[in-house]
Amino acid sequence: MKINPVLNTLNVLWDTDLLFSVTDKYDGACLFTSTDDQSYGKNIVGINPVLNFTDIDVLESFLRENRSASDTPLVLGHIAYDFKDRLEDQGLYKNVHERIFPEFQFTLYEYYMIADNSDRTKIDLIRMDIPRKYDRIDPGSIFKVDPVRISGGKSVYKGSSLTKEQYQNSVSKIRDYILKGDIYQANLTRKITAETDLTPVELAVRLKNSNSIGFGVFAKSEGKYVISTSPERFLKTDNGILTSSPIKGTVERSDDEQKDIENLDTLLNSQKELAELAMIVDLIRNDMNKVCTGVEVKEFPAVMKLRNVYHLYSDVTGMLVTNKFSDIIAALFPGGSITGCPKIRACQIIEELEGIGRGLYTGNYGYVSFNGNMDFNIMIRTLFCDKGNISFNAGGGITLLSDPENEYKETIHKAKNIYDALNMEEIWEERYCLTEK
Amino acid sequence: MKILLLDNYDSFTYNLKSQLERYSSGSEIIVRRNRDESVLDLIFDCLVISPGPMTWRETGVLRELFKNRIVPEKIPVLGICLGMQFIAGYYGIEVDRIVNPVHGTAVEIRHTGSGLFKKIPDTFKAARYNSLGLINIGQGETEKNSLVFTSFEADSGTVMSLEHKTLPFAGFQFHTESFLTGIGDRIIGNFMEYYFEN
Repeated sequence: MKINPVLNTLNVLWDTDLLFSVTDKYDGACLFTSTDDQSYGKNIVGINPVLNFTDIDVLESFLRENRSASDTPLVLGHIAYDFKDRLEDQGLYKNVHERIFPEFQFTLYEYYMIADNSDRTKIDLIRMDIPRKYDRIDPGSIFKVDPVRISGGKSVYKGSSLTKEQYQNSVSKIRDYILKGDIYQANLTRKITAETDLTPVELAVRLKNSNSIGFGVFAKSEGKYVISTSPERFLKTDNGILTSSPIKGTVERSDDEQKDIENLDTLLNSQKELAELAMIVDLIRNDMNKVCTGVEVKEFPAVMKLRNVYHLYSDVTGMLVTNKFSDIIAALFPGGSITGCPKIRACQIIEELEGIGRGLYTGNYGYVSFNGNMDFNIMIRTLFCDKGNISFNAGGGITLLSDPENEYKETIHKAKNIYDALNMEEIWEERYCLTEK
Repeated sequence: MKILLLDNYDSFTYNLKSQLERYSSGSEIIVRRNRDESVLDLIFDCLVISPGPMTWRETGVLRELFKNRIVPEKIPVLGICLGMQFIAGYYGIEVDRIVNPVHGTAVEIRHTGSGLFKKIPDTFKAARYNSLGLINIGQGETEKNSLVFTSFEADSGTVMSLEHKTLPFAGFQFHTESFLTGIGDRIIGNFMEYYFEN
């Protein structure tokens, strides 16, 4: 199907909450950023799904057929972490899957909205001239949505895929694997489930307000929701230049200016954090070298300043030798910062110790444009919601220098924003984990 | 020239490939995984053994390739990390857990003046990613079995590189292909010059 985009600029007073409400009403996907920093890009919303692509080769043909100079998004969608199995030799992975969402799904929407944080008075509305046989919506009704209702609802903790003891044992096992020479690092996570009476939009608003967010997602598909507050870019392409920006290393910000500087200083001098970032940078260089020439590490380490944390990261760039989406994904997926290193062995160990699939968690959400440019996040700090059932993962990079007890505490610490947004007491989890066998 | 780059299911193999491309212009570099039996019949002029997980004994068909092709045909070999440990293990040197595992940090290394370190300062920094290494090598011991040790970690004295006494085999424990190893490109250039241009 050949698609032509038709652009109109509308005068609309908007905020991100409005974008969420529109997304919710019209089964859309909203890629949002709550910082004014232009390097994160603009808010992009797709509404009224027309076509779904669940096969990478079918998507590739569709992208090729519609290739043009336009920088308008053509499809929005996700790749679940579990999709890794399809990109590797048979038998390397055990096909552990979690199937709340399709493993691979990209969607062509009838309308795209592009909203720039620097101008809250207008939105670019792009209509795709889809054939009459598809359900279409009236552009005049798009912004006629109810404001976000604040219910003040609560959530109840249901459980964790790994108990405290299991998580700590897994940390010790990873350390043994490192000593044996199997890996240098692995990312271990556990899945936490809850029930909530908060609405998905309300949750999205609460999570959005909890931090400054570079690569957020609020998406609805078949009644199920994805809410991501990711700070991390998996990859973007811009006219033949590929950039990946792995994050490793985090420290809390402080209201006290002196303490804030000290915290950053500690992070910048942490051998553990710098070594973790270095090994992931080498891994990302490797993956990029499969599809690029001139791979370069732009800055090591670079500092990302968010409202409540500092992160260390690096921009790695290269010149693409292919313009195929599937080639780029095959080379880089899944992102090294959420697997460990070497990647294949680390993924095998993750399968063994986590025991369940990760689904969309640590996969990617993003878009591909008519001109082939794309931008994807890494789906961390992400919550999934299906009829009031909530799930999210928390974890961290385990190295030889990791302490099992501290690593477990770190997972609770990292989930704090989500616990708060859910109106769930974090102490419940500690108690649950301490008392259970 | 044809280079076989044997990939031990590693995540740094393509960094090594990119480095080899820069220092062997016009060469064809074939990447194959270590379980791929087709390498046993492949015609090539140089073998590069990638780093990788696990031990030198768990490297698929590499041992068979080494025994049946590499040694009889005297094909030049460059081994990085696990690749070096394979060469050491093959010649009877013990490879096991070392006292100071390091992953993702550049350490100080001293070389003994081998041609492979041409134009490289006596002391340099290079990235280590290893928990295993050569063990039971005595203090000051610079050769064992058929191998000569050509560099050592400054702090621990651990072997950081080796060469075969008579055959064209060289191995490096540190990672030439890491962005943390400033002299990495020079090593690859030296290897190509040493074994293919003399």
